[in-house]
Amino acid sequence: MLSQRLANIVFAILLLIACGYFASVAQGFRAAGLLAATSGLPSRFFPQLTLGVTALCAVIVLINYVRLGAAGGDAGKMVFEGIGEARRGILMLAVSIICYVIWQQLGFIPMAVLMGPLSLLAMGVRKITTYLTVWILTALIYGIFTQLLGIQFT
Amino acid sequence: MYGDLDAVVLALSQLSQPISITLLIGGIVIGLIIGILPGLGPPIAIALALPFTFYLDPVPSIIFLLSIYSAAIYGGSISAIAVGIPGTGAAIATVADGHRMFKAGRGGEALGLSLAGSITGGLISVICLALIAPLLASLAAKFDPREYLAISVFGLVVVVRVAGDSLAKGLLIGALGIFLTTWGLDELNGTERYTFGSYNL
Repeated sequence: MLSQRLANIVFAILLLIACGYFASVAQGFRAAGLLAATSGLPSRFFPQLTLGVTALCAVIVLINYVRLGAAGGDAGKMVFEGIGEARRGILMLAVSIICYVIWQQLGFIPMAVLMGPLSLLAMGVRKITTYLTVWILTALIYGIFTQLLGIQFT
Repeated sequence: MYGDLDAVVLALSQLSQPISITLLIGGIVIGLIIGILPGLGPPIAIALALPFTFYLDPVPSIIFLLSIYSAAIYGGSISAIAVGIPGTGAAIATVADGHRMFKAGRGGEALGLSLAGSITGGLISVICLALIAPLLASLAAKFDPREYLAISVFGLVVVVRVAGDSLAKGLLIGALGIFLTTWGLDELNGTERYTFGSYNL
C-alpha cells in the first residue's frame, strides 16, 4: 500500500519540478499594450515569490520525510485505509478523466449519460434502481434546463 | 437602533405567501442536491437558478435564490460527512470530524450537528446583518490597502494555526493556493499569466 512517506516524497519532488518550470515560464511574462515598455517586474515577481515560498516549504517537507520519515505526526500511516478505499479513489479519478475526454471529443450529452453510471460503478454501487434513479434525474435536469429555460449545453 | 420592526413584519407577511413557501421548499431541495455534488457549489447553483427568477417578482426571487444558496452550503457537508468529499469549499473542515464520526457509526449525529450549526450560524448572521448592516457598510467603505494587508496577514495566520503539527506542510499548501490566484490576467498591467493560449485560463 502507498505510505504517507512515499506519497509525500513523490509529491514534494514533483512540486519542486513544477515550481522550477512555472518560475521559468513567469520569466517570460510581458505587459500588453502601452505598458509593454515597462519591465514587467510586478507580473513576474509575485508568482515567482509564491513559487519560491512553495519550493522552500517543499524542500523542508522533503527533508522531514527523507530524514525523519514523517512530518506532522503521520509516521507509518497509509494514504488509503484499505484496498477498497484505494480502488474507489483511483477509479473515481479515472472516471473524471474519462468523462472529461468524452466531453471534449463526443460532446456534453454522452458525458452526462455516462458520468453517473460510471461514478456509481467506481463507488461499487450494485443496486440497479440507483443507476435508474441517477439516469432519470440526469434526464430531468437536462430537460428542465434545455426545454424550459432554453439553456444549451455544449 | 438600525432595525425597523415594520420591515420585519412586512418581510414575515411576504414569506407567508404560498408562492414564497413553495419556492422556499423548492429552493432548499435544489440547493441540497447541488450542494451534495462535489464540484457544484452555491455560486453555480445561483447561476443555474437565475433564469427562473426572470419570470418571478423580486421578493419570491430573492427567497428562491437565498434558499438555494443556504441549502447548497449545508448540502456540501452531507457528502463531506458521508463519503469524505466536501461538496462545497465551506465543508472542507467538516470532513475532518464529520467523516470520522460517520465511520464510527455516528453519521446521523454528525449530520444533525452540521444542520444545527448551519441553522444557528445562519440565523445569527441574518440577525447581525439586519441590525448592523449600515454600520458594516460604512466600515467597509473605509477599507484601504492597510486593511487589505491586515486581512491577508490574518489569512496566513489562520493557515499557520490550522496547519496542525507540520507548519511547513500548512505553509506549502497556503503558498500553493496564493500562487494559483496569480493565473489569468494580471490586475495591475493586464499581463497574461499561465494562460497557455487558453481563453478559459
